[in-house]
Amino acid sequence: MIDQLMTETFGKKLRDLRIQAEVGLRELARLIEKSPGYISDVEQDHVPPPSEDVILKIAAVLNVAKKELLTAARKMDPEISSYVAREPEAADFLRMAQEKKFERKDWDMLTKLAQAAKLGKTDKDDQ
Amino acid sequence: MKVPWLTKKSIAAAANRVVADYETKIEHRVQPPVPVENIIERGLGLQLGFADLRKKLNLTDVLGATYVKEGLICADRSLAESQNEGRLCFTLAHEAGHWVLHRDLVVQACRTGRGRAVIFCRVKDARKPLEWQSDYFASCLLMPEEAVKEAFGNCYGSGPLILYNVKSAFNGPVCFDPCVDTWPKIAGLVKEAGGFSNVSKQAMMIRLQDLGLVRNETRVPLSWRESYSLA
Repeated sequence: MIDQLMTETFGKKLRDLRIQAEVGLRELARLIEKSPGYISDVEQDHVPPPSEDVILKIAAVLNVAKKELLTAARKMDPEISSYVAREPEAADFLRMAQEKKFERKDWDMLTKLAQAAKLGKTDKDDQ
Repeated sequence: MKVPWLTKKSIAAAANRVVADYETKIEHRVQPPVPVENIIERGLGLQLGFADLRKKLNLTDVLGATYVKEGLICADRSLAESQNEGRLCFTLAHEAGHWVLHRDLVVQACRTGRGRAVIFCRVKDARKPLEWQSDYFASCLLMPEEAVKEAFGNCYGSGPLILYNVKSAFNGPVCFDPCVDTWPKIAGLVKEAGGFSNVSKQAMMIRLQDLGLVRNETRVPLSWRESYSLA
């Protein structure tokens, strides 16, 4: 699965998701206000993946999880970028993770630990 | 590349098979307008693209291309951007025709070093057998015989419409007599009656004549150039 994510291009991912969603190439172009030629170029990887904003529009039109397309484009969800920008400790933590060369198993472990420790607020806390 | 002779019947059968296979996949009947882009992508499992072929190949009259190795059908980008649905869909159906009818020939020619794994379609080559066969395939794919006959019947009854005169005797909006200069009206009516919104009036008139539903007995050819002003 991870290997597939690493080798599958954004263009191929987009095309597969579009066909699964039964949305035509020209229809997608019209719905996100881009030209069919541009979408064709993206799908054939003749140009780099679109900006985050455009990817979010595509995800909405195709009714797919934005994470799926953002990951394929190696882009960060704009909401996450802005969260990291607002929380300097989060940026420090990520820097540390980078220096320590965290791997997937480390992130899995951290996620489990955070859940076990009930870190952060739940929806209930906000009410 | 030597192109074998194909009968109209065998080309029509090939187009019907493509539609039937697509109908099996999507589990419902296809009605006009025949969704050629979906047939290419979901039915034939090919990639669809809109490339700047004219610039890329430095040819001003190229309309489409079929890349056999890549399984890619391309229309020139200008067609997708011109809002001329009829021309674009016909080009895509034509390229699908190359894939269905000619891909084995192309593969064979490549193996023996006598060709490239791509077919470029140019306006100037329209009369060559390879191009004529794909044009006929496109016509059958987009305008299935039964659907055209039904639409024609709803407009003009079962008999063929015979054009005896060159010019219409009437000029008003109400009167309508079938003659050479009213062919866009005839084609337009059948198009509308059958829901053939993705074919041009010209393509429809060629199909009507091919199916024997319209016969021009005047010896004056229908003028396609005029169709732009009349259509």
